[in-house]
Amino acid sequence: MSYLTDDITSGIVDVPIALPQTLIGPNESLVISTIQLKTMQVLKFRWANLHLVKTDPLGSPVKVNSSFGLVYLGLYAGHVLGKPTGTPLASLNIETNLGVKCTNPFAHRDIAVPDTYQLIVTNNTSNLTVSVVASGAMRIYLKT
Amino acid sequence: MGYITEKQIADRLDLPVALPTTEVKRNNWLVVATFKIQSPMQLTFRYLQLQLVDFTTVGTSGVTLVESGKGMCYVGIFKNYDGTSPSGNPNLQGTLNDVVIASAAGVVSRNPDNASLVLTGGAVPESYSFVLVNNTTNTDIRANINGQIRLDLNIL
Repeated sequence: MSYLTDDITSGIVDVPIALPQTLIGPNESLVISTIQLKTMQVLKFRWANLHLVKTDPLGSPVKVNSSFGLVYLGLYAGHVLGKPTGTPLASLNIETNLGVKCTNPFAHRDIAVPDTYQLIVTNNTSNLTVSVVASGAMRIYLKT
Repeated sequence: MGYITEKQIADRLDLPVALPTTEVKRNNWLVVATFKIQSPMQLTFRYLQLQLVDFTTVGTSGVTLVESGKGMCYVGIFKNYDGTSPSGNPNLQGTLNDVVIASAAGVVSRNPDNASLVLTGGAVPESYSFVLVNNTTNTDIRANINGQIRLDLNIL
């Protein structure tokens, strides 16, 4: 195992995932981060937390897409216009209850394909307004 | 003090605690960031700044506080705050681990020379939430937060 050099550390960037408590209406989405990955760069998606603080009203949710939780954080490739479609490369779902979910940092994704990547939080219900928080960081290796 | 290796730096992330200037109504609160950890993870909190930009009463003399000693607003790290009670009040919902208090308009910082708060994950996952609390009953505030917390994913 090698020691670090200035050259190594200067090429490591931690990009924030920072969405303070925010209301998202029924069947609405919010882009919270966009990254353009260039050739020779690697995006490590390893650590994200999603906190469903409250719903309004409290009650039985009606899901829009039964494959996802009430609220989910998705990492999408390609330029997304409007609402996200398809399956994200990675997602973090809050299935039923209020509370916090986090990614498993020991089963992470390393992405090296040049493209535009977006992190999107989606309210997957048609009848509730949700109050959510997203926190974490993505690491980009600028030179590999 | 030892040197660090590539593996150690790969397992270390600096996480943002960031709130652009936002209005918080009287006697209300806002979750800014939440991190859920368990063994072998560890959070180290050292650096945060809170700016109370302005507030709706003229001067601070007419301000009525909810809890004395906690200023007009404060940022606290609450353990296992989930907001599921009808009130959702973080003071009733979680354990306060660290706090930065603003008693008047201006910027206050956590002193980075003070001992860092170290939160070590246990066998059961536990969440830590940074919550901005408006500690008044008669004043709306606008505030912003900039800070950082360090995550070590594997301290073993």
